[in-house]
Amino acid sequence: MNLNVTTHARYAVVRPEGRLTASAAPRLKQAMRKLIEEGNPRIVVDLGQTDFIDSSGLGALIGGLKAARLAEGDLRLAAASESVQSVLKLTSLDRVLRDHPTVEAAFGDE
Amino acid sequence: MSDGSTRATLTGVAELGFVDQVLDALQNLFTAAGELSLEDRTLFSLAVSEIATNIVTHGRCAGGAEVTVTADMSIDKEALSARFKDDAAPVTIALNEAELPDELAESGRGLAIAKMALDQLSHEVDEGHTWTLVRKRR
Repeated sequence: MNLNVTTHARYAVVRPEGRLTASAAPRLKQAMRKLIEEGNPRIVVDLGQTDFIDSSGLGALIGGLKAARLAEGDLRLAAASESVQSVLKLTSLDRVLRDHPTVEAAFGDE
Repeated sequence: MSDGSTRATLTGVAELGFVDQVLDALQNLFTAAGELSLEDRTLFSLAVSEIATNIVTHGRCAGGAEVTVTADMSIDKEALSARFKDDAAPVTIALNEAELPDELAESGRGLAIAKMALDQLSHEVDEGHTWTLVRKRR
């Protein structure tokens, strides 16, 4: 998995590319922790290039969500593929990890 | 193949890199098998990833020796199937008790997810462990 991180005025974007499984989850967690420590607790995880996710990837996203909210931010998903959306739905995590059509739309309500 | 199935077998040391190899092999198997629904591909990959990760994360041999695992995966007209065999020390796993944890839990979903994604999931303990995964094609 490749991981790209960019920061913008109102939020930061983390873009995992490839499979988000146990071998990749620690790097995602570390990237989100670093963003929060650096004062960027509003995080969009852009899943547009994420082919597949399993429970390890979901666990990393939940960890990021909790850490972001503790720092008075939030974690939102964008551009999840049909495959990733089906895993979120299967686990009922689509209720807490909300997907948005685009990165820009994720914090577009504020 | 004569029975119309496509099959892949891999053997390796039980470490996270093996899970990636299994998922790569499964991807190739999907390509070779031809038409398969996205749901079948996604949910079977999910179950395979969960069980393989469980094996490489929790399996231990007596005396700390490396655990060796063999994955045998096949696709035919009826189903997607996988069998994992390892030589880890025997441990009883209460599959029937596996259920999804609280939605904000960061771990503990793997076996429950695998059960939900499959029509059959079994685990037998003998000198090692044998996992059998079957998802009927939709």
